[in-house]
Amino acid sequence: MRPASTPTQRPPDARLLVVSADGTLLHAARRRLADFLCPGDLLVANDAATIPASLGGIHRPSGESLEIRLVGRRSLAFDDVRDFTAIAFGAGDHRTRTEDRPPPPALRSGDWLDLGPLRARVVRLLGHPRLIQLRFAGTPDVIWDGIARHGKPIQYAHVEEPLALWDVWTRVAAIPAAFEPPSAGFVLDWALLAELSARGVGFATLTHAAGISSTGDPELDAGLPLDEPYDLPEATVRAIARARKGGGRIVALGTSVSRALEHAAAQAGGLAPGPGLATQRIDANTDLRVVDAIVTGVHQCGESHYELMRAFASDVLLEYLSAELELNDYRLHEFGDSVLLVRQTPEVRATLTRVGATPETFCRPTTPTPPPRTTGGRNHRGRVFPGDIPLDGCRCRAGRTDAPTVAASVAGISRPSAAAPTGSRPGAKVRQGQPIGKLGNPGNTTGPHVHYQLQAGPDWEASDPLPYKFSNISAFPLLRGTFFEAK
Amino acid sequence: MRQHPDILTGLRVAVTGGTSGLGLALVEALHARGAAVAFVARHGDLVDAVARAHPGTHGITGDISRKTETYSIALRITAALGGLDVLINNASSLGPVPLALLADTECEELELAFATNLVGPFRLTKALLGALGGAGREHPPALVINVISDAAITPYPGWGAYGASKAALLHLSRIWDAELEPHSIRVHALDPGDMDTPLHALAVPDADPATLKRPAESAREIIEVIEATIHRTTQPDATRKHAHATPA
Repeated sequence: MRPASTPTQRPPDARLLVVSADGTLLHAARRRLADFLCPGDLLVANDAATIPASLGGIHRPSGESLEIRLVGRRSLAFDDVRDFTAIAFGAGDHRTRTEDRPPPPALRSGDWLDLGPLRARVVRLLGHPRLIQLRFAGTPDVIWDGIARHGKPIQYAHVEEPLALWDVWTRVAAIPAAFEPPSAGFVLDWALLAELSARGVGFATLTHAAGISSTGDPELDAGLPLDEPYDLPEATVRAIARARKGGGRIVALGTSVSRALEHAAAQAGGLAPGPGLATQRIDANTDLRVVDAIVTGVHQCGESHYELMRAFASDVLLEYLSAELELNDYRLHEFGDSVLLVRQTPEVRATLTRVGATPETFCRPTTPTPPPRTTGGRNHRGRVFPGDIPLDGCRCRAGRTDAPTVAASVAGISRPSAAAPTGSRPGAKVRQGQPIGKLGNPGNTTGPHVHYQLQAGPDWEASDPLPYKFSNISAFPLLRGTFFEAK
Repeated sequence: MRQHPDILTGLRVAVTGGTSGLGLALVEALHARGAAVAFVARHGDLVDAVARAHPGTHGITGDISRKTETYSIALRITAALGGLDVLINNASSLGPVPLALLADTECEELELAFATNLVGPFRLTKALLGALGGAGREHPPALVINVISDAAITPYPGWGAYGASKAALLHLSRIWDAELEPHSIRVHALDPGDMDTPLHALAVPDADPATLKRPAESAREIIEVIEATIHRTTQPDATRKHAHATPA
């Protein structure tokens, strides 16, 4: 995987890895997102506009330069704009990796900061020399004006070009509330909204103060996400009720939408309109109440966003997903590619559980092991278990068959002897391109994969392996329905 | 008969060019009717004076003809109002002053007229479309009013830069209305008539004010259009929830 370094919200080649409820994976063009949503589904986006929350300035007591990044606020009310949680950096800008930024001058409670036209006081340190409670001087109008004029979008070293607000506001950006863009929403444009509508897919929004993704400090990063205020409109609560009643899925466009909806749904009385403060973390232990699927960026193990995905899918599947993203060179970060992850059914989760696994087993950098490209050797007639990949319909809820063909059904065979697919038998002679059978899901499979083996004798454990090569290995061959030939 | 609360109460409205002429009359009338008002104008001292005279309104200093100011203006509007129900693109530029025949109009003058009268409203509306879309879903419809002129239709000699830019704004409004109507956002172009305003005085210095409309009268007519648009599609029992912040 590589960082997306150009601030283009909808690059024409943006990709979407779709994971359906049965663990099926499919690569798609992200602009085709609507194809993977079914009539009756509801897509919920975060309409927070991004505040230009990076404020350069001077620490008055020392005269030294610093950068203040606003990262938290109690509520979304217009006049609640004096008090912010903020992170301070020493001199420099986004071109230096946050990890390498010098610390700010020593900050003490009561210190004044001159931030362009704004004046702010350090109210107190929040248990870390870089994390502070900040209070601006002036009326709300004056403070907003100063932020609007002086602030710049928070950005990181992987995008060198300075960002403007139009780079980070989504097409539905409404109320300045986010400290970093709710970037899953970059996929949206008005043509997609029209397409969703034509398809019978609902669209709704909430406002959630999406916080920062990284501070460059492991101790501070461990505390992310901070508490985030949100506001849930009545129309959205109504739309969710309507969609669920009709059997549609609630698809969260981004982690912030998931956090807001799940927080609201966990309150006494259930999902209700109005303001809230999301304080919870979503992780493997979270029992999702509202969100059936999430569209999110490409996240790496260890990030809080990756933790959130564990509420949707088993670790085995996420590990597989990570390998698939890695192998296909998906782009990371806010302007990168996307994943549509449908919450795994309990049956799939039960199947995709590795015995004896611990979170540590999976929470490590993925080192994908693509199939060997080629090994030389002699011709051979062998026992092979490739399979063709049937394309079948969208995994809609029962009763829906009107969606187009989108999902490849892929399942694994745990071992060659477990269940030879229909049409193949041990020792059969096969030719290149010959479908041997449809892959089923027998045995205690751990994910959408298949094992295959070419060997010199009938005893699959005792025989020597034989060389082979694939005719197409641009991706996992079995996911793409490609064939291999044995030489 | 039950007394209905004023439909304008709490309605979140932004007005550009809000410190003089029709814009000022709109700010005054909307504020008097209890709407939550933010207004934009170029001169900070005038903005402050109008905001002070109408406590609770939000004055925003900015130039809508400048691309680099669009998003900061949009941010100030939605921050102040907590969203947006109605945007009135009223700020206008006459082009060359005194008025000039097209053949005598400098390219820069034509560009400035288009920047203020067409591109500026396009940019600001686009930056605020997320907020308007949200309002359209919550209590439809949201509304954009683009102030035009009969010069958008009638080819008055001497009004080339102004008339052509307003004609473009009129057509832009029609197309945008067709595109956004399914999203519960309406875009209307309205001609307020010849008013006794600073802009008119620049164009026709020797006009008899007695023959011109008072800006307040045109403001009232525009507000009637707002009311009619909202009434037409609002459920009788729907309660409108608007600005959630208390005015400073």
